[in-house]
Amino acid sequence: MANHEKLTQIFREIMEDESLVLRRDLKADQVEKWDSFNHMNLMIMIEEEFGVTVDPTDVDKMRNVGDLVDILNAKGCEIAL
Amino acid sequence: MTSRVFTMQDQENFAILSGDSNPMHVDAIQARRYLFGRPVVHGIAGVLWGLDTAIRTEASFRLTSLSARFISPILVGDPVTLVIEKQEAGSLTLGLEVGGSVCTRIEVAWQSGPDAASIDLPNSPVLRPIMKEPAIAALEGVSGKLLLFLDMGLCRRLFPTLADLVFLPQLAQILATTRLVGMEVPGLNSIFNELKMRFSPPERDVDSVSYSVRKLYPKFGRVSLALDGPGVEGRIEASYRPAPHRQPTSTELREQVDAGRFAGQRALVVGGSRGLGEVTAKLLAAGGAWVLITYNQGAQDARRVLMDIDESGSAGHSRCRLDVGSPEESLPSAVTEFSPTHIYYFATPHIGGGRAGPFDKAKFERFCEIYAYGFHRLLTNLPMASPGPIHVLYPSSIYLDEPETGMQEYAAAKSAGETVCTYLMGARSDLKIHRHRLPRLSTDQTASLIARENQDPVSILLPILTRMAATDP
Repeated sequence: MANHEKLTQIFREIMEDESLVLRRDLKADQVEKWDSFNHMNLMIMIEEEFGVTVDPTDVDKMRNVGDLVDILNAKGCEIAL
Repeated sequence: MTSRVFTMQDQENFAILSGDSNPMHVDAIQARRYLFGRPVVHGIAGVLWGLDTAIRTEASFRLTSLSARFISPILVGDPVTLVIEKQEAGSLTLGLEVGGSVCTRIEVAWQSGPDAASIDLPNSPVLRPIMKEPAIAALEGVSGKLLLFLDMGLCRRLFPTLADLVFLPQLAQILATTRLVGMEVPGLNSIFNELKMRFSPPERDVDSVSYSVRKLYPKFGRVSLALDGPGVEGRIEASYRPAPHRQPTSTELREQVDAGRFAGQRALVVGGSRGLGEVTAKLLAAGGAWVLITYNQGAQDARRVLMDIDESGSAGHSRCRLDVGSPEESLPSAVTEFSPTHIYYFATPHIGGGRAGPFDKAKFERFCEIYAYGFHRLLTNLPMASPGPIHVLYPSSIYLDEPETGMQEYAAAKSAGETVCTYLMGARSDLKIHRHRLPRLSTDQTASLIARENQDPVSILLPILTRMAATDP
């Protein structure tokens, strides 16, 4: 599975929305279940599925999915989004 | 739809029923220093109110499953609406909404069951639950057992339908979960995020529920717990919330301030019982100023600050209560007789944060009451007996220059306050107001579940105080 598909699957599972389509400018307030609890769930699952370490201060700087992807790509995740 | 407001009396009753007397639920003074600024309704209290209200059956029943997501806090005093989102025979999905947003989502299923005629559980705990405050690192491999109890008289008053019809040991088990999170793990600085329980006919007497730490995520302050007991298994997700922020002591700050830097000042520090006001009061006292701290609710905190200053070797400072948001209250004599040469205005309501949304007029008014009206009232009503201009520090916010999601009402009110400063200085030659748009600084107000880069208050405030003192004649 390509990494952008893996990331999409993680979002869909946590946000409980099988129709969710990721795009770079997608923000938390545009997704119904993207609250602070699920934001942490996202980070936990991303760490487990991608085998990377997410810095909590990076978590705060993320304004949209694009910021998240850039952080993960800087760690070698090669997500094409 | 059904609505209600949870009161502090409700909180006290539920704390007795559940054994969860975490101060975030029952102590308004302590709760103002926590993440949400006000007492929070127990998540499980909302769940049981929802079940008690929505489950419509005349026959005894036994729960088969219960899930609850505590999405955002329900605060004491806020109107809560129960919405039935989905209803089928023997199951419900409920939402508890505040201001149109779902705060708690509940999924429950049940089947007819034995009469809940009697329950062989103690009416109250054998030993009074004691609040614990374990560090997350110490939770590895931790497990324990909670003995169940159920005050039937109180239960009938609070949840009459459940008391009459549900299999009562299940009620005791559900109540034990809030006691587990709020008093044991994580304990004092906890947030209950999620609960999933599955019930089955118990094979033995239901007298306890066991728990074990299943997974820890220390970096994110997250704890995952497994539940296990007669007729129940489940999972709890909980988080650590930030503790009240500890500012440097006066003894620590004395090393950074020249002893006579602020000598000669009679410094009125409005809102000096914690946060930036606390830091300012300590810095000024360390530099030789004579300080009067005011507080609204934080009498104990103000006393703590003065004791800390006293312990550093600087005595003679004082405190008094002042509510700048209350126009009908006249200024206390301790303030009017103090004749300040300098006023440091750190009065603030709980700021919070939030999601993007329409401009909230009530929130804006609440901020303006302190940042604009309260500030204007204080400077207008305070007799200025000192010769020479009175120097005033008005702390504004970087959010006027750098918008932040959820802070528009706060920024707009600070902007109004800045305008009040301009007009006051234009009308009065006896005032010199120093406005500074401060960055995010480490205080209770900027505490967050997600780690933020906040600056050290001393590194920002000390140069400001020093420059103000340098403009003294």
